[in-house]
Amino acid sequence: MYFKKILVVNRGEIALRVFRGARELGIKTVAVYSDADVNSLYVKYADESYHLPGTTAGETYLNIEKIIDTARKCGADAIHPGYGFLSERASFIQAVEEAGITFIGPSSKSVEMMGSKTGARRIMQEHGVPFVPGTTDPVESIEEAKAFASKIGYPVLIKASAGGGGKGMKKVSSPEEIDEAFFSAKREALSAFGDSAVYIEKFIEEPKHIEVQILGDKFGNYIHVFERECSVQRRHQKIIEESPSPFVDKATREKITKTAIEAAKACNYYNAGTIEFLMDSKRNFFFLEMNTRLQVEHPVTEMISGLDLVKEQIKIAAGEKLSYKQEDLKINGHAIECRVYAEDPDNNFLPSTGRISFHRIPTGPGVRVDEGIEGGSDITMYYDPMLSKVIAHGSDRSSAIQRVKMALESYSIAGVQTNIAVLLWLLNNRSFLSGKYSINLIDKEFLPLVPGAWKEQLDNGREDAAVALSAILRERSRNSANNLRINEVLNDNNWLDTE
Amino acid sequence: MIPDYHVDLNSKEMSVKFVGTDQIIINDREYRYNLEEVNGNYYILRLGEKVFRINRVSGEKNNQLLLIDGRYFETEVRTNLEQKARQVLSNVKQSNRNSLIKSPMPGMVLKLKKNAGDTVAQGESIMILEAMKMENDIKSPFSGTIKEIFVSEKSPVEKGAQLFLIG
Repeated sequence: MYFKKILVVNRGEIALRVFRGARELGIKTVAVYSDADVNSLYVKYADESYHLPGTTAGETYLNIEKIIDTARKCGADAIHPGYGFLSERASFIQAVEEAGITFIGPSSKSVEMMGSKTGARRIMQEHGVPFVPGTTDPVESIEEAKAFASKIGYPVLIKASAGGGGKGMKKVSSPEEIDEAFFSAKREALSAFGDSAVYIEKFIEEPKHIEVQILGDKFGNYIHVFERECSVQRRHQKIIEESPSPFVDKATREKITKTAIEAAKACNYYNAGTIEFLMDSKRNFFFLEMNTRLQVEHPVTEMISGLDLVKEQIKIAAGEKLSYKQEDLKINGHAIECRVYAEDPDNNFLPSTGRISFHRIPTGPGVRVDEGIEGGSDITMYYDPMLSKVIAHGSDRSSAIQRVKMALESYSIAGVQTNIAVLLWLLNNRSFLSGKYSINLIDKEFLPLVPGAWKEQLDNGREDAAVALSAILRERSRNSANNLRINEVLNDNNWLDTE
Repeated sequence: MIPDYHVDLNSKEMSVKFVGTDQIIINDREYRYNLEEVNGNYYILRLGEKVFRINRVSGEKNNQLLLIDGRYFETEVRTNLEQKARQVLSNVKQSNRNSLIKSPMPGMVLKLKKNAGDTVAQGESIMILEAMKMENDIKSPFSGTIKEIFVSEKSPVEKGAQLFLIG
């Protein structure tokens, strides 16, 4: 047995995902929950659950003292951080280590080296890994930001040093915009990561986002599990991810995976990690950052490789050697993931809150759903609005796309607005299907059709069907008193008669 | 043509007229239809040549929550009389109250970008609302002058709370 009991310091679909991996290995699972999550699905799935009083992330899922205390109290011998929250906080990992509990992830030292985006860039520079031009230290003042931006030339990106997931990241096209962007990025960084440090880098035109999954054990063995492409993004938040990338050829794959392993070695990394790159149209790639944790999009890698990354993480943390060699791994078919968010595409993509009144998960060949909700779940304003992830595997890219489309069409969520229709629009988009598109796909092709027009392109009569049913039901209830016309409608229609 | 019903679909309004027992005209599109009620929550609607499997999540006489192929629709059905009453009511509102901007979601007011008396253009950013850890730009749906601001920075707002009065 690797561990007796694992505490997961996270919520939603990823907490559930880790519980599933732990349970497969015969390990007991512990959930922690805030006031707002008392009835969340993942809490019901765990073997034990403990309350973290409060609703804000700071009071609950970021409350190191309270979490360590809970882990001690319940007798957990390992902690899994999921993604976001404390997953990349070196001080947390240190506190876990000091409490004599195993952290399922890298050492605090590796996280410290890679967790600060600016520090990571310095290390990459030393190890000859190509990276995007920009500052290697946090930018302290607005004056410094302005001076540096003019030096490397606009447009630039202001990014949170502790960041990820698009939070605390702002694009600045001209000197007039920099004041507002700088302070807004700092505020977002502080509220999302508890650290307001930001840095600046050159904005690369029309890049693709390509990342490499790596695994390392505590004995210095490394493997990569190929690349993922996550170029479909809105406000730097990934929406659709796939593996392998339709853009990366064999030679590029060899180069980029080798570079990724070099990057992992540079910080003595162990456990699962991801090295993110931007790739230009000539397939040159630049180190963007290393995510020292499990990624949201890890399922696509699992689907094409057959590995279970959560189980690998647990085994590595328990001191096992890697159970795979590089030559054991090969790409089997193609996998694609769509993130389902509670948001209203026609209303500026504002998060949509409320109670899930109906929830039915799609099934079918090659379909997997990592869900964070069920019927009755409350979607609140306190946390990330991602509800679930729909993943499909197929023998090639087009069959994976077809399967994920069918899955999304039969996914029923009611009570909040979701982005499912947007995902379907994207999956039918010509540039997406060709594989030749950049991270600006949504800005360039989708946003000009908001609000409204994009929906009509794919409507195929559904709006009229919804209107017709509503009107017919009203008509029937109106006529049910004398029951005359309704009977005609129900029984006396000559549908099969051809006139 | 005088419609039988007016139907709001999400934020769009359409008109519906029934002809005979199996024909329906939606705006100017005419269909033959047949509705099979599998149970109160599941319907098979044939509209023209197309077949729709519709999941009715919940509904009352005038309001329906429907799912079709993963798409979620909220509808409100009004008779001509109800439509007229609504128009009268909204005219009264318009003349009395100018244009009100309400909060599309619960959150916290991070920054007000305008003061009372300022002019705004349609689509111009007027405030930043923080929710779900993201900063959301709230844009004015109308052009005009800001008559009144109902919220202050750092204050929480509920969904539907009054934010700005624009005249």
